[in-house]
Amino acid sequence: MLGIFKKTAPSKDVARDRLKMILVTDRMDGSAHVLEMMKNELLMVIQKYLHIDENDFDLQICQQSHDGDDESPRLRADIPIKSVKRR
Amino acid sequence: MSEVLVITSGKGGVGKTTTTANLGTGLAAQGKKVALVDADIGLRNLDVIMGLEKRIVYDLIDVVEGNCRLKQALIRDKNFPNLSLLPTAQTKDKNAVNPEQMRKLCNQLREEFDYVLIDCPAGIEQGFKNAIAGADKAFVVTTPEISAVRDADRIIGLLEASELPPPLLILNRIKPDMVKRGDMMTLEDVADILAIDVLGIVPDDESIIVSSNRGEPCVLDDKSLAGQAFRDIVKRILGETVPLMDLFNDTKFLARLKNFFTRA
Repeated sequence: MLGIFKKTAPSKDVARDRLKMILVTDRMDGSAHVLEMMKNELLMVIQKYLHIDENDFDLQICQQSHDGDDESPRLRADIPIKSVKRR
Repeated sequence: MSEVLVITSGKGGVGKTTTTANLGTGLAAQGKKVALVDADIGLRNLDVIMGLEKRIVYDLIDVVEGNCRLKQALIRDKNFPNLSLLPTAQTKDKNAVNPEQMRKLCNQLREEFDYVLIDCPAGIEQGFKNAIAGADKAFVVTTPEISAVRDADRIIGLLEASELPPPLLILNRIKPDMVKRGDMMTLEDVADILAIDVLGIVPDDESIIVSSNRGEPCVLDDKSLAGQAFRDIVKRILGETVPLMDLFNDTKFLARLKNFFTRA
């Protein structure tokens, strides 16, 4: 219902946000490969402190923030913790 | 000290050739010795925009292959004796020249001219590499459209990977009414996304079409808004500080209009 009153974003903002996302992957030049490399390096760091399952490690580039306000591209990691190492 | 400037874009049809013609003519109108080089082998157009197409005898490939001397291939402009065009070949392909030959050609032109402007072909392949080979500085022309800006980003990446200094942006074909409605990206949007410095903005203007119809760059037309934009860019190339054209001030536009009618 409230959606009716919600103003649609100006098309230039849509263009700008799409472009930002496109350029992240363009500039990374093979983003799948780069993400995989980042993931492997991050794993090494995180595994020093936490027990995690690398098969559950999800790393991706997306554009949706939690509040839906900021549409800048972001790197999102989702890593379930199996257990914490005692120090 | 002469300077070789290359006008690039990535995407075709955003105004490289028109920009090259206008900046070259504008620099010549300021008394500089200028050579325009059409590096778009196989798709010759700069001669047409300059209105010099009937006077072509030799072309860039003839010079590079030694079929004629450089001076024989240069066509003198009809308005300015200090402005010359080196046309490209229409029937050969872009692999007929290599970067080393282009560097040599640019250095030859430096001896005679203050400014050498190279009209780069669209794309990122051999033609692009040839066009930038002998350049000191690069300008990137784009329109505020998503595909043109994306391609500009690619070109900026390639220019940065070469040994050229950071390129400067010319944002072409701005439609102030669409910007006001929120239907066209602003200069700030584009410059921010591309992360480069701005050399100038050029409004979308019918006088561009009229002037290309006639083969007379609009930089010479006092009444043309795009012409004014190009004159501003020329001054910036010459080292002057000129504020960016205000495309959103209606009163200024009305003043121009009034001025136009009182003169007429």
